[in-house]
Amino acid sequence: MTIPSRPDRLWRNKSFTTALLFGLAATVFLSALLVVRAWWFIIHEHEMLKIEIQDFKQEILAIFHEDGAMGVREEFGLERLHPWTAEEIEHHVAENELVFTVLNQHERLVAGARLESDFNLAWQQHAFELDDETITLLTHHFAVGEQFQVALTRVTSWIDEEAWHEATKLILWVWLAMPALFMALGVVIAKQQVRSVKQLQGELSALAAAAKLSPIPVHTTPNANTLQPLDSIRLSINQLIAKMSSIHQDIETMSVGIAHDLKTPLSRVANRLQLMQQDIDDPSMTAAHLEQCIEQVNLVIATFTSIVRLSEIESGQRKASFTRLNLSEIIREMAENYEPLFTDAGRTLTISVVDNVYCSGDRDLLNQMLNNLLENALEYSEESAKVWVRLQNHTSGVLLQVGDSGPGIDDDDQKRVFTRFYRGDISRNKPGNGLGLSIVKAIVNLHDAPITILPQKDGVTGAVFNIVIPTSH
Amino acid sequence: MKVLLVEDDKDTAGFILRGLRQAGESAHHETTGKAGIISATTSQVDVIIFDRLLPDMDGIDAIRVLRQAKILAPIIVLTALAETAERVAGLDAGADDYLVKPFAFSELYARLKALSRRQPLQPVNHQLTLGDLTLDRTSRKVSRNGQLITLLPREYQILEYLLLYPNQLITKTMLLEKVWGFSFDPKTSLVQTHVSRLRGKLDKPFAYDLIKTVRGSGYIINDDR
Repeated sequence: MTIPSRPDRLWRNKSFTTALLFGLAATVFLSALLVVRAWWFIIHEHEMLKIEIQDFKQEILAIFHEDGAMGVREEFGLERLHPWTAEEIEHHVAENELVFTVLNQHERLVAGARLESDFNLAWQQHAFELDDETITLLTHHFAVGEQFQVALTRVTSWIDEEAWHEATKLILWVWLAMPALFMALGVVIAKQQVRSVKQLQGELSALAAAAKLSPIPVHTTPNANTLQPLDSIRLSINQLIAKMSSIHQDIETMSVGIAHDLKTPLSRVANRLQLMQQDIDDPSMTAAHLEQCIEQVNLVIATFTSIVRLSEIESGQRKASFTRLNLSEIIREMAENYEPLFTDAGRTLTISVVDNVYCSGDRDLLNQMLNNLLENALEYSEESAKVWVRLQNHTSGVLLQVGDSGPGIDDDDQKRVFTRFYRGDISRNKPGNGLGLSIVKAIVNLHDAPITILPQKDGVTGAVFNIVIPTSH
Repeated sequence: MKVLLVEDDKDTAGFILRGLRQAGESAHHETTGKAGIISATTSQVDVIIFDRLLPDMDGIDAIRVLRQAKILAPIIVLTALAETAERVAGLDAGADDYLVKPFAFSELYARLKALSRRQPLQPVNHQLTLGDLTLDRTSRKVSRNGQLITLLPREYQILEYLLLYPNQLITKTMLLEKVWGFSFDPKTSLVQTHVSRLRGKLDKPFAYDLIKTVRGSGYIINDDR
């Protein structure tokens, strides 16, 4: 199977687009900051201008108090005070110089510029037309003694102009530089991502082509804090590989089991058929061979029937038809069925079952579960062994115990007895196909009834199966 | 016994037809579901054998059609599917018995005989007798030659089932299904042990055996000495 490779379109890459969007957001944010900065600059410069004007006013007032109007005049070198002409005013405004206005007590212009400002206001912001251009001015009005009213005026237009000029220039740079910067960052991240994904894809393709599944390398240590995103995927893939390997091994065990189990009866059939060819003239011999053939073929069929049965149970379909059953009755009946078989085989079967225990289940399957456990006990216990079936109340549900005083199952085998085709008896001399306990396991799983084998210690010698069955009332 | 066989597989059909002819039964063979339905509705048959997987239709649907058409002849379904759900589906549709491939001819024949014997339905028979043996179905008492025999419940059930079909083969699988209600085959000699216990009480103390073993197949109960 090949994975179709998609052309690497940069704008389809999530990290790239994220970086780009982030860049745009940062640009907008920075622009806003610059606007705020310009606004703050305007306010600050206005304040500075006011302070400057006020300092000048204090100076004038101080000189006035000391030396009177003449002192002021001398101090500032205003020998000939006179009202300015329009040109003079325009010249002062254009050069951004201080413009002053002096009125006498009759509110007549004594010196400086007439700017039509309102002497009732301490501070006034007003406009001035200069060569078709509107210029804003800031004027401070105050009285000097009782004779004069003075207005000091500065141009403020330049502050706004400078602030906006500076801001727009910076914003332009931000807009030019930031998106490009983030785009470059996006490209780097995206490339890196594409590269690591491609590497992982390469590793997986190699794994798919390899003969055996083996874990893929994880570069960082498996520490949740420092784990790279792709490494956590690697760890998950490794978990998956471990599971697949175990399934694969199960399948392998099973196919070897099937092959082994079928090979014996089929080779017996082959042998008998050869013998039949030799004894074809002897009807009684031929009949004996035939009977053997049929018997062996039936064994093969029985194995297949068990496999089909097992997968039917494992599919879980039967769960839909569970009914309320008298478990005590089922167990007692089945144990009683087997009692003569145990007696005939020189073993004793003890039955101890509490009455009227009900559970939700499938009668046929529960019968088979008991049947298989009892068959197992009959087959693997020694002569004169004691076997018991016990049903007793338990903290969660009821405990069904089927045990024997036989040789038991050693701890290594305990883990594997439920595996398909596994047999404690390696020679496979005993009848059966190694599926009996696998079927038991599938049935208890279907009934949500955990099964355990008592460990070989604390005086336990035989094989003791404990099944905790949930009850229903 | 007139048997209608509806089976598309040549080998299986040949195997069954040969067995039936050797047993002296008359058999009619059809290979499609439609032809099977036509044959069953137009001619008098005692037992019908229907394959589940036919080229033109599901055997289960064919059986449903026959039952709706009031064809009451017993039907036995053949199938490769051993699952219980399949069994139930077959019986729900109106089939009387169910047999999973592969099977021994003796198994099929025993079931055919048991089915054909049931026709017409026996009036409820409270007393089953065979030679000097009597079984009372109401009091569940069994006596032979006037002597009362005490049987365990399972032994009684086996004997009752055998007596319902005297002189004919009852297979181990039939006993497992009808007496024990098992759909699986124990690997142990469960049936043999119980039958042998029954024989110990029923035949051993008397002059001759009523229950006979058919090696590799099952049991027959008859009065032959």
